[in-house]
Amino acid sequence: MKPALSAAEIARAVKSGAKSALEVTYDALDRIAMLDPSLICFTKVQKESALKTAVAIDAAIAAGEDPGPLAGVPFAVKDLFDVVGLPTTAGSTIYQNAPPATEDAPVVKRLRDAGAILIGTLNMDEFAYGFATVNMHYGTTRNPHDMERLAGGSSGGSAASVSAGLLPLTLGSDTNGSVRVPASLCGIFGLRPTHGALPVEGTFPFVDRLDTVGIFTRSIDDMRASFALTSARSDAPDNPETPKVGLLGGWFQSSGQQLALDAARTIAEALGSTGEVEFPMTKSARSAAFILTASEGGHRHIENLRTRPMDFDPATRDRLIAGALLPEKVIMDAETVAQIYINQMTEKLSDFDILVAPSTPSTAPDISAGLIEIDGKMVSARANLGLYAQPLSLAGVPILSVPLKRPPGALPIGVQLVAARGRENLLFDMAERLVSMGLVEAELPVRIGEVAL
Amino acid sequence: MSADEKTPLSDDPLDGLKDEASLKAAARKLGIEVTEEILPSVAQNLELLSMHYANVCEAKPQT
Repeated sequence: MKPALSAAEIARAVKSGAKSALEVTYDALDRIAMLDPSLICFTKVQKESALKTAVAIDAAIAAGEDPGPLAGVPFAVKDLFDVVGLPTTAGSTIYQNAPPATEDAPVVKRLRDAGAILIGTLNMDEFAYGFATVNMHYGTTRNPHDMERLAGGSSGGSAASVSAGLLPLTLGSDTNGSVRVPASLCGIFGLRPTHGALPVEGTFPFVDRLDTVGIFTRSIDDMRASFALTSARSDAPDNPETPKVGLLGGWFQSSGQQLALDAARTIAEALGSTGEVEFPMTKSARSAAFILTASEGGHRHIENLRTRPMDFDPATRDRLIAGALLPEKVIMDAETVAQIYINQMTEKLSDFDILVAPSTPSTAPDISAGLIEIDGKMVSARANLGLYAQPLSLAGVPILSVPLKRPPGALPIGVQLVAARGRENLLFDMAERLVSMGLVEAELPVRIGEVAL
Repeated sequence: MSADEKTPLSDDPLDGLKDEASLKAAARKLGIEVTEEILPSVAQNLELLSMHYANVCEAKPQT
């Protein structure tokens, strides 16, 4: 089976007439038909509308028009983005019969306006509350590099579909790490942009202060172009000659697998790290994020918790109920600690261009056990894969998870590159530098189940 | 007291949720029925949140 080309390659081929948009779309649909029954990335495939759009794009090109920079590029979105004609389920069955969206979410519209073709919606943890994409209603998304392992979450369908070569580009969301965790476990690039850089309107919310729209790609060029198109931000170069780079120590260099810690150290050293940077309050900040998430999530869903609790996945429901029960004093104390940590991070990021940390504490865990080892104890993967991603979410800064180049047969692992607000272009430049050094690469799996790529 | 010193947890605001009856009553106040079936799991999640709150208290400035 031939995996998807990069978005840039597809757009070039379609615009030059080397390939038609229709051919590209049929290829994507064929790959999905062949592999998705075992991977479980998609919740809905919009075959008819995708083919219709492809025909329109080919007609535009034949008429001498420019359909846009992403002409004919197939993409899909986590099932919490509004898509015209579909209910936005957020991975639940509670909303599966909700009225269909009458408008696309603005980011979906921007990609369509650039000529990209929406193929469907993608699996996720119910209400984005988890790091596993174990969904009792729609299934568990499998990791394309080892089908017996988790893809990570909550944007697991978005990450696995790019990792498997089904599509070159997908959208997800990242509240506490839901882009960076699956990007790490699936071995691809995953961007959590500056909070507010991409509009969250038309997406199912979780925690307002933390929610961001995120992007998954296998190529850093595709990431840069997709972010530029969806953020409508100028592509100003941001590449200091000698960027000041620090490796996040303390919390970020403890608890996880040695391989994850070493991955961050390797990347930091390659970028010229001047040493370790400590955020002494990280354990407390992560706990603050955990509490604020549980509380806001619980109150957001309180009406359904009152009236139809048995329609939730029990694992989601019971976390949400506990969150809704938290007393005001607990929330206020968590707010205070979160703010102190945000101030610390902001100060550090005025001294450093890039900070480096592991994306996940381990490679993809087994689905059957659903556990990871933290400090020698086996704990829930669903709640703890965001150990290093969650505290960094608080400051609203952009973070790119880059996939480390792997020895043959090894599972993927990612590293977070963190910059100050608005410095996405610096992250892309650093990632490009790492790719050219041969340290970072989004490699396809050799085979997926019985299918060789 | 400096920010590095631990806050005594004797006045833990989560104490009021630590026995089954008070947990159920607090949920009922919110309009949520915590049945016997789901009680252990909700209590377990509250215990986890309580551990996280202890971590928060380690860093919280004292007033």
